[in-house]
Amino acid sequence: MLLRYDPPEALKEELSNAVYIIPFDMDYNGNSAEGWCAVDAEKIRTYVNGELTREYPTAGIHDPIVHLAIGAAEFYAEIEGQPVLIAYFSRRHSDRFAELARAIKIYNEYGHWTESTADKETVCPKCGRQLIRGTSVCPFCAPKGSVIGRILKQMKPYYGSMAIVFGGYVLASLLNITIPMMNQRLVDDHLAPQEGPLWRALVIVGIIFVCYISSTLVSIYSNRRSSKIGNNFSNDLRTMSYSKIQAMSVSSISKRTPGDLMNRITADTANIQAFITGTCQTALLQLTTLAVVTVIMFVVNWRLALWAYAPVPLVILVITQLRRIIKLRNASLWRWSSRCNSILYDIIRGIRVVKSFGTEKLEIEKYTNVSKKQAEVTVQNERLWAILIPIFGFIMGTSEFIILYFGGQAVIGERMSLGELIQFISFLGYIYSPLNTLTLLPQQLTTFFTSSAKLFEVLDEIQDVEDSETVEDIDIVGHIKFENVYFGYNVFEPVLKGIDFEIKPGEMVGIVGPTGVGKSTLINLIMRFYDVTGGRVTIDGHDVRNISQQTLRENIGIVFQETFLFAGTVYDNIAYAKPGATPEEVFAATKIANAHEFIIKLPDGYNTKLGENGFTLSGGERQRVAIARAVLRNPAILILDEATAALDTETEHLIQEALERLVKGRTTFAIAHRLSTLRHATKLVCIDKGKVAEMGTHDELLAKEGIYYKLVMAQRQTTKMAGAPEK
Amino acid sequence: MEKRISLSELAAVNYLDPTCARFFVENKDFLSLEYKGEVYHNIKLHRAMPFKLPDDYISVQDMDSKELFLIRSLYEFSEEQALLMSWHLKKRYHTPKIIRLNNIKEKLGYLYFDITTEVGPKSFALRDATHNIRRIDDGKRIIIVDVDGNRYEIPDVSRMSSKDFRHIEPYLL
Repeated sequence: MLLRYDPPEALKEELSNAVYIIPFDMDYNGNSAEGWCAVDAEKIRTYVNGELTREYPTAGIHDPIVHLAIGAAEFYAEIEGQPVLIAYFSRRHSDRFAELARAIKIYNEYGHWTESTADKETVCPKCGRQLIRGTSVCPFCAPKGSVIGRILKQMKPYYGSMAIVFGGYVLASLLNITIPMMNQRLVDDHLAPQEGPLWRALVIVGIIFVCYISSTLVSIYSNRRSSKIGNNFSNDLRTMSYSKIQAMSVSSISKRTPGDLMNRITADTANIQAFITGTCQTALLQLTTLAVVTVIMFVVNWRLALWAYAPVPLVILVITQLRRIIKLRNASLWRWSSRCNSILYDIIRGIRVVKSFGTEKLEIEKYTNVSKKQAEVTVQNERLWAILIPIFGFIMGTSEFIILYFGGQAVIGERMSLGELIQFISFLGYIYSPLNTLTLLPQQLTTFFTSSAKLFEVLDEIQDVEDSETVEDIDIVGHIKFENVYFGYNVFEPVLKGIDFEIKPGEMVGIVGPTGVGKSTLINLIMRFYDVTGGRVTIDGHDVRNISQQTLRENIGIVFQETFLFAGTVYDNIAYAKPGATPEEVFAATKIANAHEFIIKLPDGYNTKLGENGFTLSGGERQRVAIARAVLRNPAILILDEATAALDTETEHLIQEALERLVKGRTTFAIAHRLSTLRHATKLVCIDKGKVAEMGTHDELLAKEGIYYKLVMAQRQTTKMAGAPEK
Repeated sequence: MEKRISLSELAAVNYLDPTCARFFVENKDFLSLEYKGEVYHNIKLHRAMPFKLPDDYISVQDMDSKELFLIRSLYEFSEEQALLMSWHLKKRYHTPKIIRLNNIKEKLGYLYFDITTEVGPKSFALRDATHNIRRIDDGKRIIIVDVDGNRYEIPDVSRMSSKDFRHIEPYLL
């Protein structure tokens, strides 16, 4: 991310020593303004509309931080124990100011200027437009040629088939055009003069028939072949994008919504397929026909051909305007029907709540109002169609009247034959049908480019958590160390600030602390779902960034609070951790997890199908299946992230029993709110506000009477109130 | 049977008594509160219902967003105090009103707005119009949230010029 912009001419001399110069966009009252924030070894200064507005000594700045307000952001720091506001700006600049804050901190701590580590820009370096978070393509600056080029490159294996399809369309189009030409011969040579041998007339009829049949057969063949190309190509794209998403880091995936990623694989590839198999083939066929028909018409009678084209500009104008109105109406209808569906979906899902609060009438009213609105929009749309279609047909028909009038005169004046007139009228259909398609083309091209660019964006995404070339496959024993670890999901919000502790092989460490202090983030760093922003995490002395991700994850078993089981059998779900595991291995894992007893009682045992339309397990049962899954690999490191938090005491006891068996001989990293879960922990680490607040055994921490002590006391109180025996 | 205790008695919401409170500014930009002999430095004001009741039910929070008090209404305070709080709320909820919609372009499925607001011209990008162009109350007031979380407001969509309305119409639900 750029931290040194070129200042405006007026400030160039004044800011000649500045190390960092970054822009912002508001004055301190929230008005749009041209702001600059400059930092050098002496001072940090801000300028608004060319005027120096704030100035503070760089060395005196403590804890510079970006604070996000609701529709804006502030950059402030502490100077001599007092907070000061340095700049106020729109949230567009928040990432850059957060990077500036980090750079100032490093300068004040270590005495050297650093470069930004954030590689993602928030604005397009070419046009300055805002970039969509999680994407790196500016749709205004991305060259369209590159998209076509890449699509063509991907389609290379299909070039031969595409050439055959194209040839087929040209042939079908020529055969179609032959029919009116043969009609003309039939009328002029045989029907109008009622002379000539019958066999010749029959031959012409035969040619027309053959043309019809051949054109139909060639079209069927080309369509089938084209569909095959489109389907195979779209399958290639789907597979490529799915594989890419699988290879993406958790960090990259979490920047996008599941819906967005699914759309790239399904909707965008479908759009590309629809363009190649639908739009492309129709446009090719019709454009070829249009070109050939135009040439023939002008050769036969150029004056009449000009008359035939006379209403074309009007038709194009009407079609274009109609499309705009229709697009608007359809968008509105789509939004209302989507609203209607979402209300319906919501209420049906929550029907028990509706019933228990007796709000059926209210819900009926809510749905009726939206449904009524949807009906109104539909009626408006249909009314529009009812009026527009006949008018449109009339305009298209005007050219027929013109041709009939002038052509009729030419036939009477014997400047044209009757057959030629009939041929002309037949050709009119070949002109106006492609026009309709061609006006649709820009919109379809836009959809195609949009979907292609979105897909390539995913395919081109650079991995931020990637195995370097020097990664090693090691035999993990389980000695974990956090060394001065800093991390934040957003650059302006550090979650962990200088975490230092170690877990020796075979130890069980319990992580405690209030919600949202960064406990689960520690797991994300051990698993290397994210990379630290400062310090390092080591396993057996190796930085996790130097261990291959495959090795790392093969040696870690993890149980989350939220258990995710895939649609499939109980057996499949457990064996997911170790494809090819023998039934004996699976039974051993389920026995350890206290799951075997309930699975064996199910009518279909291990073959019980789970998921939608399948068997429903209770929360505790699901959790035990998840534990069995984690155990199956016999991992050196076991991570338990609130594994028993959502369970009742009875089930917790069963799972606790399973876990006690499990932790023996492995390094265990357990996060728990229920402190009783951690009673066997060798060491407890209490995290507060992103830092290690306390560390020690249960007794040591109780004696300290700090955060842990308060948590224990609060929980004892709750247990007493619930009447449960203390643990 | 014992008399049922009212919810407000049970809840013990810490409402701020306006007669004992004084808000003041420290270090040019920071709001502080003096209340019943205590001084709370660098406090934040946070609207409980920013769209429906922007001047009522304002939460007074410390820097860690922990609620200290709840203000029932800004109108309970003197004009000078209410103005001071309004000013801080306006800065915190920076939502410029749109005067003119110069252009809306759709690219790669995102919307690019070019607008003129009461505080000057702005251009921004928007993802997912269905969720980020929100109709408030009776549907006339529109809040637009851009990809970075900046907000813009159309106070009354029915009073826009027909040209401006045509730009936004396809995206209104």
